[in-house]
Amino acid sequence: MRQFLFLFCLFSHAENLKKLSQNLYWHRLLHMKENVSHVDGEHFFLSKEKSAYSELIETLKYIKSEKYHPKYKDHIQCLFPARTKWLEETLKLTLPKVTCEELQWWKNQFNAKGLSLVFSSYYPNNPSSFFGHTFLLVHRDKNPLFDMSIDYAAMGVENVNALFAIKGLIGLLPGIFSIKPYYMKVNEYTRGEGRDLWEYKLKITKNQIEQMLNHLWELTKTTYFDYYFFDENCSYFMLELLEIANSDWSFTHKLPFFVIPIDTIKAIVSEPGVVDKISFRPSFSKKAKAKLALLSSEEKNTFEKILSDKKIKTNNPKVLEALIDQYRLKFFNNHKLDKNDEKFLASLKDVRGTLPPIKEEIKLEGKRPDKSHATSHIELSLGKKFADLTLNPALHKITHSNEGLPPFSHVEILTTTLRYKNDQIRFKESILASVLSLHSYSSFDFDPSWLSQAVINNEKRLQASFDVGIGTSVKKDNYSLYFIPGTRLNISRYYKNTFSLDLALNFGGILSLGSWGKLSLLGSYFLRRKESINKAVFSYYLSRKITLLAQSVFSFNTFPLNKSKESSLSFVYFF
Amino acid sequence: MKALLFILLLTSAFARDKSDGCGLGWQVTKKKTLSATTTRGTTNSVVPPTFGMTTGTIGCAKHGFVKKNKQLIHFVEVNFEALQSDMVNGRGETLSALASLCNTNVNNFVGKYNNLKAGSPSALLAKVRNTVSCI
Repeated sequence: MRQFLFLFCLFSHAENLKKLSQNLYWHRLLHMKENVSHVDGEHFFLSKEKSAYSELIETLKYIKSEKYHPKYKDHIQCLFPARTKWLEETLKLTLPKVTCEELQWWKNQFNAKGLSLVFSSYYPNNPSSFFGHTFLLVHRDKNPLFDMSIDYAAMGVENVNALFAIKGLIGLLPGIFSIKPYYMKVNEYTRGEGRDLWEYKLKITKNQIEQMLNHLWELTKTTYFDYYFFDENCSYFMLELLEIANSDWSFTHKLPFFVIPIDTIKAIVSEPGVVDKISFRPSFSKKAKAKLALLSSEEKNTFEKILSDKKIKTNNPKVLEALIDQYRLKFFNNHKLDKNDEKFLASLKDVRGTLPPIKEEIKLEGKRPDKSHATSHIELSLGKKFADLTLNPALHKITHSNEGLPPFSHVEILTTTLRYKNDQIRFKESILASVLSLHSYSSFDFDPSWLSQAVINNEKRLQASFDVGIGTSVKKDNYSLYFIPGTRLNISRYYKNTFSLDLALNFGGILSLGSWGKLSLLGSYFLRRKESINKAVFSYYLSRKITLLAQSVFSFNTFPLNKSKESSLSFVYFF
Repeated sequence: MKALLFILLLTSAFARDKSDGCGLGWQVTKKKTLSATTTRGTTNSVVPPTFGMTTGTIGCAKHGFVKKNKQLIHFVEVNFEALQSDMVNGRGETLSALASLCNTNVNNFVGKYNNLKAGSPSALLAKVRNTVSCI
């Protein structure tokens, strides 16, 4: 009878563990999706099978024992503190006391008082940050610049180029977590790269932050993740860490396939009781612009005069600071100043340095990025005798309304259009990637505007084309004009030599009409070889916001050299 | 003129002495180009000596936290440009943070740009130590 009871207890104990291994939180700790972990490092797993159940058994075995696991030089309690804490609480275990010096030291260093999820705005000049970036910020006691940032990024290439992009797309780059003082990030983002930082402060307890740090320790001590640009990227892991901090939070199921940083911010904002406060840290360039705008017209004149004739005839600290700001911006843009600029900046500083500080603080408002339209959209266009269906999985077209995103920006990937015409549905075009980066012309600091695009077009015949161009633009608050000459390389088997290179003159103007929408005129004129199918194309768009999730676009395309034109009315729905 | 030359030599000597510093360039990295833009090693990609937690400096930090005796120089190196600008203006967030690191009042830095002008982070730190009582 006793043996029977013993076996019975053993059996039901095993049953309980089986059930426990299916616990959602346990799966989160193991980064399991459908019973398979997407952790890629060997040492994260204590069992050979790497299943939720086997990991549970092995973890319990070693945390309950004073012995060390043969594979590791630290005790399992010290290597897997998040698992330990959860199992101890859930199963009400009494575990042997193990001193984890390094872990304890590390957690004490944080001295965590609070936590924010920080979003940095877009930086079109760097392909790996087209879509912004998110990281966690642990708040400590002192000045916020000494808070600690936690960041997940793809490891290791100094030069972000096509190889990096390809490796990132298919998971060949290892991703790692890094921890740094916030002042490093503030310097790098707001000054070095002209990006804003948005801090979303979370409603979270110190215990929850500690559990998150416990898990972060587990990850960094034992493993890495293969970095996938589309789904397992920087922002995805931030959310996974938050889901471990608070078992009630569930964000990752809300995300689309293409996870871009802003989607993760929207996921936390849309959940009630998660975000406590939102703070805005404007970029240095935004602050400089605001300071300049506050100068009186007389001060502005003095400013312009000194900028051109380089004679410092003023004692006005506002004017001097505005001048110094211009040179600092130039330095941040070019990473150095030429000898003359350096000398002049030094003399400006000498003069300003003797004058008292300005008392007034400038308060800046920013457009909240989580209020921008959803990133994927579907567009239905109806024209004379044709209809197009376009799917745009990511980001943002210059012709569309852009709350929360930098104005006059254009980034899109994998936009695919099907055309229904003459009773047939055909693949019309796929824009693999298209970026237009506009920088306002300034004789003081010339920063070129550029575009780059890869398209597969099947309208006349199947052809791939690659555009690259560099030029200039004028960017004001509600309009923008650009002229970007460049080249277009066409690849099609219909060409005699498969390749055909055209010169392209790309130009455009975009006018924001406030709540009436946006009017865009874009054109490309090709100096082309006879057989090329590229001709001039001028497109007119009038887009109008209907709701946050829908817009209408009227477009008119004319191909003057072809003597053909096409107009359509589209409805765009964001999701 | 000779005095100026002497001072320049002195400050450049300080600049060359890397043994005390964290080797962080405050002059941000290479110029961005169309095809191969750099990420400064820290923006969205990191080049660490070991897995995981690092500030990108060697010998100055442990698991991401700057060692206590390097905190001042690390801060000055990263923020050299911003600190000088804040000192010129007599105010600023970075300057206030430096003041708290030195356990002193930020007003002790105001109006002292002439004494705080420096050509390198280590020179700046030396001048800061001369101007305010900073450990």
